[in-house]
Amino acid sequence: MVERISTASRYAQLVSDMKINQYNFNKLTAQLSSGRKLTSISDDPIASVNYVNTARQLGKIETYEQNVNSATSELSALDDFMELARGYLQTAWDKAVQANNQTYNGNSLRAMKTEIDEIVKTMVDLGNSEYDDNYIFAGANTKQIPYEIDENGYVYYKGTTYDNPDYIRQTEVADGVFEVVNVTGDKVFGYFISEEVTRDANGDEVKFEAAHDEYQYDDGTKYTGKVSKLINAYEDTNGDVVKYNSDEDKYYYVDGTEYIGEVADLTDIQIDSLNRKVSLVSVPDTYYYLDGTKYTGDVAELTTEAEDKAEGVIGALKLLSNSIQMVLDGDTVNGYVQMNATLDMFADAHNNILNEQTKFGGVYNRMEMSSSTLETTGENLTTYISDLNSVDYTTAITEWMNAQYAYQASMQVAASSMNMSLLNYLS
Amino acid sequence: MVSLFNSLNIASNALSVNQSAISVVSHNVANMNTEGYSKQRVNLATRNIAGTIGDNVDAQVRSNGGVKIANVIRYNNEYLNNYYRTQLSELNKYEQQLGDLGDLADIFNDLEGEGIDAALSNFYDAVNNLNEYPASSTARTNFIESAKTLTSILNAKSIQLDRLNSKALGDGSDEVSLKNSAIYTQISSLNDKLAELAEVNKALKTTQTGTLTANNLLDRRDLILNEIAEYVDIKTKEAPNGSVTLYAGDIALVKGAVVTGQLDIQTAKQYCVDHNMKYPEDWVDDEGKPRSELAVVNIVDKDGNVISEFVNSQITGGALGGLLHSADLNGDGMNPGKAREALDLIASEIANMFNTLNTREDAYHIDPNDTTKLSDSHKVDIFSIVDGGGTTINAGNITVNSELLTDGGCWLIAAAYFRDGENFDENAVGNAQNVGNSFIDIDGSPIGSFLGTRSERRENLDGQSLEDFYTGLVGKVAAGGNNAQNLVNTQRDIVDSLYNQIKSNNSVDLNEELVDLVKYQTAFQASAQVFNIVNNCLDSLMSLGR
Repeated sequence: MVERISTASRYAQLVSDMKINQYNFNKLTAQLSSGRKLTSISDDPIASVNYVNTARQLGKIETYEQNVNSATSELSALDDFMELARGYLQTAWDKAVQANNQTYNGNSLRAMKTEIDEIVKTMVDLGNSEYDDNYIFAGANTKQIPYEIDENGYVYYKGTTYDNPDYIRQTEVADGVFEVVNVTGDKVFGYFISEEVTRDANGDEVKFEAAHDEYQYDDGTKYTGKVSKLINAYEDTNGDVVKYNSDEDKYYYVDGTEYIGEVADLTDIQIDSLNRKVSLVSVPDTYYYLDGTKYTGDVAELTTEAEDKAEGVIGALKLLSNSIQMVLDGDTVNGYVQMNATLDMFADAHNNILNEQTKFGGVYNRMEMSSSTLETTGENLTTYISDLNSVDYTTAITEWMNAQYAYQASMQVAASSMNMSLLNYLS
Repeated sequence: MVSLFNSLNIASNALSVNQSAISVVSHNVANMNTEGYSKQRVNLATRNIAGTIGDNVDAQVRSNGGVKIANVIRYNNEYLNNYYRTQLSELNKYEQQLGDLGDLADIFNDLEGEGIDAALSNFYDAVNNLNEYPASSTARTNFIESAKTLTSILNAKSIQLDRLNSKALGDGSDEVSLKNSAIYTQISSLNDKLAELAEVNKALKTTQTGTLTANNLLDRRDLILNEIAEYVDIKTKEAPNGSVTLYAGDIALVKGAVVTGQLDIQTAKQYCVDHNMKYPEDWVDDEGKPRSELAVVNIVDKDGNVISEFVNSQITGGALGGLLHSADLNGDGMNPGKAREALDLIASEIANMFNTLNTREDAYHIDPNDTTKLSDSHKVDIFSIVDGGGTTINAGNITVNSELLTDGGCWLIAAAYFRDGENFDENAVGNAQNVGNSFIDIDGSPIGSFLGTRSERRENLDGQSLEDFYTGLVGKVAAGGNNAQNLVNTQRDIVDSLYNQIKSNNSVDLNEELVDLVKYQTAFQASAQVFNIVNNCLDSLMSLGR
């Protein structure tokens, strides 16, 4: 027995078949006209999530590319300024070598001093260079003019000093990869200042530290972390650190074994996050040598006087200028001794600048490299993202034509078969 | 001896029987396109004239009484009908859910590069820029503007999600919003259908009193049941007279000619007020705003007295079932309520991370009165809550602290940080340690930074970073939509195939009808011929004596 098929069910079937073909045709048409495979995220969840992730990755890469671009231009500026400084240094160095020959007469020396003083001003100007409204040699103090000359001709550096780790400015060039883009003025140009210096009977410099309380480890070294980070703990009779576990109401050594002695034997101590004991110690007024050792002699033997302190190329230039003045003023012996000493300073300063240039040259090259890596990655991601969501026209058009044929065929079939019934043959 | 009149009677009777049969065919053809119509078929039977036959052949012939209509049956398969209704309820539920998830997928459609993901990316671009130029007012303003864009997009998405919910179920507290919701309209239509069913039941009771069936009324009844099944999953019990008792869950809604229970809906707020109770904990968010149950369905009698209250859990199928659980936070899969919850988490985590960093110890902002100096005298949150937006930050109320938007407000972003305060230098306005560098503390633990928040795994976000959590949300919405679409497709195939089976089985086939028509026409014409011939025979008999 053949299954019963009614006219109405036949019509319903034809309509449903036509609808399927129409849906397929419309979907492909929408893809073709929009150029996108995914019209809604629910079309293909995996591809959609990949798309969103990749688009974000691409966005990050664009940011890094921008960072690299602005950083490389700042680095070029930095290098140009250092190159100029090195040029002037070279000139001054040559002059110093000539002056040290002790063959120049007063006029020549005067002229040379004028020239050196001009170079000092130029160096100060270079140290005060701005890039994009920031003083680039001022460390983190980008809004603070780094060099100031006082009425006595001393050149003070006001920026963040090189020994302060917070001087750095960095830019992100890849996920979590930062490159330092600045160096401080005191490192490149130095300074020439007057400061009070305390010396012992042998003339060795000591520094004063006023009485204060500080946290120290058992070996006497200072705890430099935050006081708020210290943890309360205990010490057993052997001096081993014991910690209290409030959940279990038990005491444990830091290696995890349980303390089984009397709780009353434990003494309260404070430890740092690495379980090292830290105690508060009162430090009296103390003088330290520069290497950190304590001055143990009589305080009355210490003398304090204002001294010139010269560093780097500016220091060398100022000393050179002063030594020429000394020679001109008649103090030839000391003058020439000081003049001679500047030669080494010039050499050091020259090396110093050259080192910084080399260092930033390396950074610059890395940036260039990462720029091209970013570009390649960017291109790959772009290709991937277009694979994910862009329509491949060859395939899409073929599928679209097929869908069109299927749709047309279903309409043709419907049109020809709908009016077929016995009615046509009854007269 | 059989009388000629007997044959005349048989022929005349056959004429009227065939005439009736043609009328049924005509009824069938007329209703060939009527939705829910079942083809009726005339069952013919021989008329037997009772009497003893014995060995009398005459008596045997006399017992032939011609033809009669035994009954008119409708083509129908009760099992198939019931099965179809169950599947139809499921389909409507899935379709409703697909509608919700489709709207949800549109809200989270980040394929155009304009969604939350893009806003987050732009925001972090601005953070990156701030890292590079911490002392620049442009970088700071850019940061604030990107943060504003981010919060506006979060607000907008949150409103869209709220609308999605209130479109379905109202906002949970406002009567007007409930009356404009989809569920309200659907419940009114459903109640109308219940009344219609009661009417048909009543007609069936009075009409179908014997063994014969009231085919047209039964068709009408089945059609109404199908329509009700679209709204809610039902169970039926049929009485011999064809009237049905209709149950939703365990509750009888129609018994015979009486509507015993109508659906009534009220806002979650009204329900709690009526019952003098607090919002149940799992109904509300932190703000006490209704979430999982926005509307409460009760069953009332015709006078409005509550028979059974809060029957939400009993309505699991049909469009109502789909709607009612569209915001259910405990339900399976993704829904607008859950998406809203995830978005709220993202908003509160962003606020939490940036506010903490901007106000923590040792973080310094630029002094608005002297922009070459750092200060920590006025630490402010970066993100706050819009006026009147409650006490907990969520996607709907997050905004950029208005202090940052005032003149000089941009300086209050704490872009500098000094690890121990030891190296603090008030001139170090270019120090970007709070923004970009992942500084390591003395004990090796990283000190957070604005940029670091991008990859920071947050416990509240299932141990994921902000962006990963968001992508996960998009993935869930997409997968939810995709699953719902597949579910609907499969279910629609089932329903379509059942519908086709029912149609094939029940509805009118023109060929059949035309064959029947010709068949009955031939029988009618033949009977007329018989009648004529018997009449002629009678005439011949009459003229015999002349």
